[in-house]
Amino acid sequence: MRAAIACFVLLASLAQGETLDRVSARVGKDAITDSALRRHLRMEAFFARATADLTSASRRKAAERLIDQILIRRELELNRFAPPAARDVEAQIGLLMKSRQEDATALGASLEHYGFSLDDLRAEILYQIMLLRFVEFRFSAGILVADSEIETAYRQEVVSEAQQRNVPPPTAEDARESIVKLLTYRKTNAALEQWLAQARQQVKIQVFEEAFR
Amino acid sequence: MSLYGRPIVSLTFDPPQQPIPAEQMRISLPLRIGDRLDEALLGQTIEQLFATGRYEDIIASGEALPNGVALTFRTRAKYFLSHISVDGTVPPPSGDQLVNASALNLGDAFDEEALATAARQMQVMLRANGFFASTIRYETQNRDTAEQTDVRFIVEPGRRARFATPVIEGDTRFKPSRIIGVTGWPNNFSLHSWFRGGALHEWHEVTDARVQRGLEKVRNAYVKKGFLMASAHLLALTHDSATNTVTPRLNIEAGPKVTVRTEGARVAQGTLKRVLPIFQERSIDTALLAEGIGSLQDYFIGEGYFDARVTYDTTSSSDGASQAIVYRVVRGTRSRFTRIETQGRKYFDAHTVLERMSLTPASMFGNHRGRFSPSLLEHDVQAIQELYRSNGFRDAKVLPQVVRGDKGRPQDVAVMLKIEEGRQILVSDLELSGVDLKLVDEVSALITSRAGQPYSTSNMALDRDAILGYYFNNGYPDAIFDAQIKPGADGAHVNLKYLVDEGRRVFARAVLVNGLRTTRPGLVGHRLTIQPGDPLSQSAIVETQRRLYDLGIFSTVDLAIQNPEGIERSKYVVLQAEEARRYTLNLGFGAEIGRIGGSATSFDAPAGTAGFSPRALVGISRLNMFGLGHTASVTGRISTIQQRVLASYLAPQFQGNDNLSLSFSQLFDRSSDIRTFTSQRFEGSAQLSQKLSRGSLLEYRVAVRQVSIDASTLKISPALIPVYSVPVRTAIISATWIQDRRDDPLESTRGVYNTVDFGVAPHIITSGTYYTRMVLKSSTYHQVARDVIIARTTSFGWLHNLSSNPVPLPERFFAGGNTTNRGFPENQAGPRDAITGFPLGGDAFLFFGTELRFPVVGKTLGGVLFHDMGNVYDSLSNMSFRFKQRDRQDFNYMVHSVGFGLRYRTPIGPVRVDLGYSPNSPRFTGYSGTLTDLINGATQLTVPQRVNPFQFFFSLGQTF
Repeated sequence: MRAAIACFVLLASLAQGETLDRVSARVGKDAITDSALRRHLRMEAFFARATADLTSASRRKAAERLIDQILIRRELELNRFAPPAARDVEAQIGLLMKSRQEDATALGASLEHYGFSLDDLRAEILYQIMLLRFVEFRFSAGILVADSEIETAYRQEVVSEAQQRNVPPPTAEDARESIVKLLTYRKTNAALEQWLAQARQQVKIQVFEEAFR
Repeated sequence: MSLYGRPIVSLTFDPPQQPIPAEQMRISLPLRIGDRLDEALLGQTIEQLFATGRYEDIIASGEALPNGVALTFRTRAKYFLSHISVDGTVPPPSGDQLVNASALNLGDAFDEEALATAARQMQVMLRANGFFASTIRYETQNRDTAEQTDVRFIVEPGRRARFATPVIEGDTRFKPSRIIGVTGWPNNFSLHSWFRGGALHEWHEVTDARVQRGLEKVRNAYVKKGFLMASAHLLALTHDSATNTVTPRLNIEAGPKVTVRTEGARVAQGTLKRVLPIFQERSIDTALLAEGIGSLQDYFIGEGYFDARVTYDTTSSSDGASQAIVYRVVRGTRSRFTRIETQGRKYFDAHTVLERMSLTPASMFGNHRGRFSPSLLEHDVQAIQELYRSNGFRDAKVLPQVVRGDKGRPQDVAVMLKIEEGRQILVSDLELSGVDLKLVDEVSALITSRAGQPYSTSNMALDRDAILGYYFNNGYPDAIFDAQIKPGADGAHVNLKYLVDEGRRVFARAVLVNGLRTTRPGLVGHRLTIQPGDPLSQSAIVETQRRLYDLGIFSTVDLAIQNPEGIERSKYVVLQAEEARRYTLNLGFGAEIGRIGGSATSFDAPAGTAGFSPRALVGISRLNMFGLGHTASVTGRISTIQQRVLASYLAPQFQGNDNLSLSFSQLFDRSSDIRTFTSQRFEGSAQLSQKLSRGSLLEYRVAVRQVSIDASTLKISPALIPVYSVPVRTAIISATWIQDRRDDPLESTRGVYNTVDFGVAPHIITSGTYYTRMVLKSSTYHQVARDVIIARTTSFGWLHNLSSNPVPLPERFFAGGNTTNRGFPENQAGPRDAITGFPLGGDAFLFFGTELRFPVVGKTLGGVLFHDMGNVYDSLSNMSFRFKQRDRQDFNYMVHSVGFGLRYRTPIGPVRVDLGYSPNSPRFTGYSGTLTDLINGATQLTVPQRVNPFQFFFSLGQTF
């Protein structure tokens, strides 16, 4: 089998012409192409207002993120998760423009610089909203933070950080809400990671390392 | 410079032969020649190709050309399992079991990792069956077409380990040696070991079944001794490679010894064990003890104690070693459930309502007390309500009333059911949405909830199942059904809307047949109900499997869809067939008991005496002759009254037609089942069977036979011997029509079975005979009460001699006995020789039989009262219904017999014993001398005789 793969790759590289695109990873019968990886990295760069890092290492890490994305998209489809309303997406775009201090024209130019259209942005934001709602519904809703955990976090993190900064720490009561949010966020993340790990066990996932050489 | 944005001037694939048909590629790919190369579309193209599931890898490359870009897709196809086999195994486990353990499925994608896992899982099964030193390797071989891979596992099992003395832990209460003896693992008398110089006692080989059986035997042994809660678990099987033995480690907890008894009524221990769930579940807890109350109450209710009440108490000894369970029974008065009456019923007739009930009034045959209990009544009320509700009576209610002392008899109980039907809700309109216009008519025909029909949720569920079943069987695997209900303004109608999302349609690309070694591919090809281009239908796949199994030449036929998860418009169907062993050997033993005895060489007992005739049968068959699915067989049967060798060749589903089968046979038969003579027959025949419909068959037959009678065995008047001892060659062309509409051929309760057989024996190739022969038979079966059947049969036969020569003796009708008239011994009906009294057969027969079949004990032992009447007549014109025999030479009258019989049900049919009495069995003249006396004309040695009025028969299967 490995000989066949090596032979395939060698022949492909020896053939005339440049490689335009290829399968870089797979989740079951869903392919993650090299162009999808680049696109994902360009979108990240757009949001970060940075230059897209399209190196092999970066694309390799992006592959893992897209694998997770596919697993989540499958779960959304399986559960017939309702997509957000168009107005919710437009509202988020509005917030984005406000945070970037860009009007519609400037936003369009910015998107074009990274190779995207406004529709591409809408699709990306729609997915992000669905992801947040899915995580909230599936994981956050069932999370409980115990008083002991709040107390421990207060002592070990809030007080400790304040001491390092030589400032008086806020009272436990004042800090409670933000501590609960932080701990809920962490637990949600952990639950999501655990679910993703289990989901990966149930489907064939393959990364084509030769695509990153 | 980027190639994106340039026009695509060529689009090629490497290799040119792709797993997906070129036409499908052309239609479905987003990119085409002439389009501008776009990154997003290129990515989409790769994703779409990959989603078909037929590729391992895809690389798109482009080459700049003066006028555009040449685009090439380099692909590596995925392979799929087409054949999975295991060689080298020593059952158990069998090859099939190892394939199942591998979890590899036909049609799935080939995966190297999965093979390694499969081998490991097979190893687990091998170890469980005593093969601890086994090795497994595998080989794969790709086929030329359709990306198929065969996988062959080669097993070297090594020697199977034997048991060693088990280690037993826990509170066992018995000696280990006793427990070990129960398991069946020791072999206390091993001649094999002794012959090899070992001890007479050794241990059996380890197999998984033997281990489980041993544990089960231990549990059963404890239960038998009253330890109802005993547990026996296998903790480990430890293998010693030096001695190749396995030491089982068992944990046994006996638990307390439990005694169960009843107070207030005596119930046999056997009945308690059958009825109480604590014995069936082998556990004691509150829930099971409470369930036992219901079970015992039901038992007493079945005995007629409809008001029986049961409670229970448990006591345990102080050391926990024993436990006593006492069920206290208050039986109440013994009653009889006499009748059920319904009131308020308009829509359904009484029969329709009552046939849904499990309450049963008392009857002479069956339960003499009837079957009644409050829980049964509740169940029946629900069943009748459901009947009404499924017919649109949404608010139907059934109000039961139990009447004690029915019609003034204190012990009689009756049930009155007051039915309030309520308003019937009807469907006023049905809208069907989402169905392709081409399919609307077919889908609509499946729907029961039409305008004007009763509305019910159960009917809607049936519609949903029918519609989805239709789509699944017509290539729509993703079809979805939804329904909307809108009540009408008047409250008596509803509008229904069925919404169907058909999804994609999948077709069969081809059927890939693997595993044929001897069988001709055309034989299999003719039986495929799924053809390339057909919608992919599960029912067609199952039907193909059934048709191939019907050939009788395959031990397994597996069908699977290749690449089941892939998104393709058409898919391959993979068929893996395993040819059965071609030779089979049949051995059988039996016996016939009846009035078949008597000397073959003297004139004693013309009507037979009690006799016993053992028989043996041996047959060898070769299946799949010439790879055509034909069967050749040779069967020999030997008994004291018959020796027969039959060679036959059967070509079923002749010429690929399911309804035709052709057979040839050669027969040698020597029999003396007719006391008058011993005949020898050589016969060759050809028969074509044609299935006309489900219960109707036509057989066309040509037979040529030579029959001769051993003159020394012929017990008739000396003047007739030269006539009847001449060998005769006869050719018969005949046809038989068989109509079989019985519900069960072995134990019929309703239906009909009719046969018409007509034959002509022309004198073209025969030595002087020319006759026609007709036999008609009609049997009907009627159920008059639960398990009570009236069965009747009429048979008529007529031989019309068209020649001046007599019809050969063996060709005449001989009848009487356990399938025609039980007032006669076998083949003893009809005319007899005037001097010797032996039967001569006749040219016509008429028989009537009637049986009342009823249960005697449960469903296993049945009884029969019968009346047979009829006889064999010397000619059609002499057929008569006369009761009285005129004189000792008159045999043309109707002989009657009455009697009873017992039927014991077995898996192969009922074993039957019949005792018959004939009030007018024939009287005749016999002969007490020898053949020499007869030839010398010593007529004073004639003696008056009579066929014994009492006859007995012992056989298998119903009489008719």
